[in-house]
Amino acid sequence: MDINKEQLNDDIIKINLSGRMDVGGVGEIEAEFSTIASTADMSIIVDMSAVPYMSSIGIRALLINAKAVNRRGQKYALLTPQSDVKNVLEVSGIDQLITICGDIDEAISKVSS
Amino acid sequence: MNLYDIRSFLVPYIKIWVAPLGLLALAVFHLYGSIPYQDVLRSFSFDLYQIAMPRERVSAPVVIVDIDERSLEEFGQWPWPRSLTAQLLDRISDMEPAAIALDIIMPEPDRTSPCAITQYIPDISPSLVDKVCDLPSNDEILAKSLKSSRTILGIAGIDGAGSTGVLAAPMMVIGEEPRKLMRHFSSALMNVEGLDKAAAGHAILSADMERGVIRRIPLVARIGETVLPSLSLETLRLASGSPVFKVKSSLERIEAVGVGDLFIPTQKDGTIWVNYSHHDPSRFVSAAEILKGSFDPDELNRKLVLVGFSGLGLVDFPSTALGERVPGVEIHAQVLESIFDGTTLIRPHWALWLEAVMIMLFGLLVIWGFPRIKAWVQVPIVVLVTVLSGAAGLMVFHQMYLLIDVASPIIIFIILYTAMLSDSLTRGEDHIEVLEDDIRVQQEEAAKIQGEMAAAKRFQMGIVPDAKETFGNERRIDIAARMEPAKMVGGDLYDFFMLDEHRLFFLLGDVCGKGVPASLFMVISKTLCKSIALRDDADNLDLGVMVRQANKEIARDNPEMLFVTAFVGVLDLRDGELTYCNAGHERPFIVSPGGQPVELSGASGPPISTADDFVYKTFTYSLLKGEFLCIFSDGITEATSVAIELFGNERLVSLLSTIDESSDTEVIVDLVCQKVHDFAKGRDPADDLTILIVRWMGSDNEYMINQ
Repeated sequence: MDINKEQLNDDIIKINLSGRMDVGGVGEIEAEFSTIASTADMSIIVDMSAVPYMSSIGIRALLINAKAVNRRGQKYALLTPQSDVKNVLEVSGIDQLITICGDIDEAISKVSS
Repeated sequence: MNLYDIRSFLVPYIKIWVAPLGLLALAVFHLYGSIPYQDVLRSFSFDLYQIAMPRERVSAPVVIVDIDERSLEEFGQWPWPRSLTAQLLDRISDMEPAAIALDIIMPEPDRTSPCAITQYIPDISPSLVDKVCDLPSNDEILAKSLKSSRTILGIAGIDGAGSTGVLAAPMMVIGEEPRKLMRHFSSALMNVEGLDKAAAGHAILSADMERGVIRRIPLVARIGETVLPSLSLETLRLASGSPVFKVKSSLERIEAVGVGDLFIPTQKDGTIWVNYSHHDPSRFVSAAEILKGSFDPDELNRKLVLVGFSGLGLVDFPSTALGERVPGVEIHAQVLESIFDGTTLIRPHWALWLEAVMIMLFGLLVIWGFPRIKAWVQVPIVVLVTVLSGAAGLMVFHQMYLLIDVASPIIIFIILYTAMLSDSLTRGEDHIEVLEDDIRVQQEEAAKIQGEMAAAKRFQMGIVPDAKETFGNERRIDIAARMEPAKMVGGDLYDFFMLDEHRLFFLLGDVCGKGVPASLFMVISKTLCKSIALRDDADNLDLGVMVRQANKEIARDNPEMLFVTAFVGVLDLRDGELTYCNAGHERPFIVSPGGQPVELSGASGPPISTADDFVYKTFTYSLLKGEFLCIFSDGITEATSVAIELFGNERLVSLLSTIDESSDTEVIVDLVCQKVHDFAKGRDPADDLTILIVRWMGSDNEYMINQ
């Protein structure tokens, strides 16, 4: 998997993930993923559009990340997951914990408010 | 600082420096010549140079007039009357050689002189004695011949009582006084006085033998305080007509000796190493031929003529560096040849230092270089260094006539390398023993852990219920379950038990993760769920509340951030009413007899322990008679084939849709597990695999299955 971040504005970081979020893939990005979430005191949008598959390990990574951000009082949102991944998020009930947005403007307004 | 501290402080330094210091000591011993047997080794290696590349005879300035077997046969036994020797000298002299040298010492008067013979004749008349004694003695005849020819007589240096009043040509010293430096004899074995006085030159014949081999010849030596040139040097002096021979010397060493403009570099004691060519009979002329006049006079014209013996039994033959036994006179001839050709050997005074540097370099290569390179490279390096040094030594000998002892550095190099090898072999063996011990300990520990894990697995498999045991007598349901951990212990769980007479509680969960942490989480989750389910008033059990309660308690102590997806259900066996709560788990399938599998889509909330508190929704579904519910973990849908394909929901749906409606749940569980195993054949299972199938048989077991 690959990971990179971009600064959207003073308060929001966008993290772009790409690749399969299975045991191997998550292992590659886990450290950097949690470093970004735990060091910057900002809200975070995770762009999931380049993630074709997600297993329970991927869910765990997102949850740990979201918890760390929420604990600081900041907001966390997932952006445009592919349909299979969206299905996994819904089946596992994660959509009831983490906001899932269909486009970037929606995501920015969700994490800004 | 106590003694122990000092030691532990010093030991690392000692370890680092002991080998280089030993090496330095070795080099110093080499410089002082105190390495045992090094002389023997060195002589042998110089012999090897000569054997490999013996000197070629270029010019032939010397002819040896040889008193050989044939001469003795024709002119009588030795000693010859000196009148005969005088005759031989006269003949040689007539041929006008450049110089003549006799390699013969005549210390006693000739007993065959006419006057001396008279005493052996009994009753000889005194007048005859007077007459005979008036005749010149043989010694006088020889002295006369010596005077008329330019001839050198030799003397021998001896250690002991003897004459010291030797005659010699004057020495011209260039530089410092050299006497102290040269080979010294306390006295000499000389010729009869009249002969010595008549001779045109005087030379010392002595050379030191090492185990029968003459390797070095002094070009100058001292008897008492008189310095004598060697036979070869004196011959050159006489031939060149120089009144003096020269010695060039510094305080520490004699550098060269010579006559006229010619200088021959020498060792510091005035000796030279003889550069041998093979024995060559063409150097020799039989004395008999000279005496008989049957020899071409031109052959001796302007030559250096040495007169000596080869007649067997007269002398011991010394050995040359080439291992040939030759008459001593030939060695003098060879020295003269090499002086003429400029091929005399010299062991330069800096040779010892060069060798010491080589010893240090080779030693450092072994001590510091070799431990840093691979063992298989070391042997070629050893061979290369040995061959190159040997070749360099040989080349320097052959091209520059220098004697460098490469054998000492090579032998020391090989000894050090062997020592290092045996040392590292010993260490290697110790190391292997340590490793073997480690492996044994690790194996024991692994076996112990294996045993404990097996016990944990038995325990884990033991806390999930067995359907036949639990519901063997309950005709209203048909239930079967299977759990297969991917590792020894797993993170999946299932459970079922009766809440009361009519209501069945069941759950299937999947802890995110595998192995020991997941299995501990699984045990906690299962136990908590069961105790909460049984704690509340069974009649008023609200599943959503129960899951919320369990979530709160499990989430409270969760440092590893593990979570568990779970499907929890309660089935009323009287009417088939299913109440369920799905906390983030994969949707189970409802399969009706002869119908297509349908997903049970109610989603109550996220996995347990992902949120500190969450209100989970409860859903209901009414099961028909014979309809069954199939709950499973992702060990089935995410089973992966060797082609990295997932088993997936679709394969499970099509498998469930082909089930014979009369099969009991045990058969269905077997079938699903078998299909998954076949699919994932050749790969380790990625995740724990769990499946639970519950079928409602109707309130009074009206649905009959084929038995």
